[in-house]
Amino acid sequence: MRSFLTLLMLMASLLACTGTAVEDTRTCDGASRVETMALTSDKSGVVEVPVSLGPNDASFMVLTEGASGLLSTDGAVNQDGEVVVDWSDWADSRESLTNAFFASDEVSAFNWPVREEDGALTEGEWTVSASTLDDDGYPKAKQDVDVTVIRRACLGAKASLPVTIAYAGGLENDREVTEAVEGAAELWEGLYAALGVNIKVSFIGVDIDGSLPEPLLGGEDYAEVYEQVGDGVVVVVGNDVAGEADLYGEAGGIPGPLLPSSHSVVAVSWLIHAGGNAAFDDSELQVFAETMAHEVGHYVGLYHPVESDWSAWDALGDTRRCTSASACESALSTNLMFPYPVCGRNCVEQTKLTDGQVAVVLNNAGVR
Amino acid sequence: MLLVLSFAFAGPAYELLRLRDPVTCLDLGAATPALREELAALTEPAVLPSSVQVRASVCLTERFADDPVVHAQFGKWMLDSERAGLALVVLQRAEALPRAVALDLARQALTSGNHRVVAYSQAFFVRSGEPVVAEPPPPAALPAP
Repeated sequence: MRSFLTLLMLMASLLACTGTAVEDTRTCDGASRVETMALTSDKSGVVEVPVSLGPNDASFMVLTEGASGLLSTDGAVNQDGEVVVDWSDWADSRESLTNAFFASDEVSAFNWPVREEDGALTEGEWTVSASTLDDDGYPKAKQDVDVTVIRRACLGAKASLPVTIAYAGGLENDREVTEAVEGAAELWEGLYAALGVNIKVSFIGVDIDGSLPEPLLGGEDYAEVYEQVGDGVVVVVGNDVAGEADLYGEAGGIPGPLLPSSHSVVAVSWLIHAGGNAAFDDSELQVFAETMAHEVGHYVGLYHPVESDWSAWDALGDTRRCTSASACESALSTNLMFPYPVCGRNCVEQTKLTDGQVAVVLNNAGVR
Repeated sequence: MLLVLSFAFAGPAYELLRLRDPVTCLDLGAATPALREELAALTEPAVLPSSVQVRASVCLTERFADDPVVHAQFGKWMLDSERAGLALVVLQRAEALPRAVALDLARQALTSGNHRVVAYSQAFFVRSGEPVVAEPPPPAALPAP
């Protein structure tokens, strides 16, 4: 009996050693490998994208672009032929996982995994399915598409996200604006660092109009701006975003594409944040920082934990399923991704993310 | 003032204008019958987040472009540095206003103590093709001293 127990202990210890040894062989440096391919959709408008995953790969993004009409991503199958995710499971859901399931023009950006509960990637040959569609959303056969696959290795101790802030409309020469933006960026850096994500911010001026179009709808200059930067997330600062709608800011997708396209930026307005006197005070600077952090949060895959009609939510297990303004403000008003600033005499600081939300950020292929 | 603000904070326009998601000024009209009054109250400095003040001024420009009461409010903003952000919004969208009103506001803005308001005014004159300095009326039209 004793020798049997000893044998069991020895086996257990060997298994433990083996487990440790496997983990030690992974190179977790957050490095990216980028592969491009030209594919054609079949007669049903379906494009099968091969994604070859190695032992270090922790997340990937498949970007499908180039067809006339619309594009969507339909799902992914792992190396064993198991369906890992399928758009039809989310079609009627009140929870949102990724915008890649919706038809969009120019580019479909699909990042996997999205959540911690989606599980880790497994080594082998995966397939991601995308669709080429006509303008009404019906399949469009035999369309040539360009596909980019970004595979990112597991992250090291310090995850980082390269961010470029691009001033539009000559704002790089406006000291009041640049000081405010730099101040807000510093607050944003601190906010993300507290959540375990380091952002590395650099600043440039870009020769585009200061009235910024909505990135979600597409802006003709945005592809060139991203091309100029070439990496990470680009935040364009302008006088206003979306004209009459006058947005705080907007991300070009959930997640946003990590290559040049008319959707490849986050756009923010400095003027709306500066308030009625067009001069930033500390509270306005805080909201400006939160807008940058919030919109970039969308760009790396986060939804609002609850939408402002209180009947749609993100797909995370640790954000509360509240159903009224009072309940949601009570549960989530300090959450960075809450759909609006909550203010009385002062505005509540919105700086928190749940563990599930942080996992979404860290799973984005743009975070290294 | 307190009454006005508490009305404004509780109002449907406020609920919509504080959202980060896109909201059009047309959406606001459907939400409240007293839109002009509610928007005017929301441009007050005490309203938070202060972005609501700016968005309310956008909707005043878009929805009440022909309203003399609103024009008078705009005129005050042109000369008040503490309302410079709202003046900028109006000047940026001056083409939505009747031309004579837009020109009058832009000329007032030229005397603003805020350099940005002056610059936006000058930009409007460039866009409109009108001379920056108002033509003086002919002598015959001047009132008798």
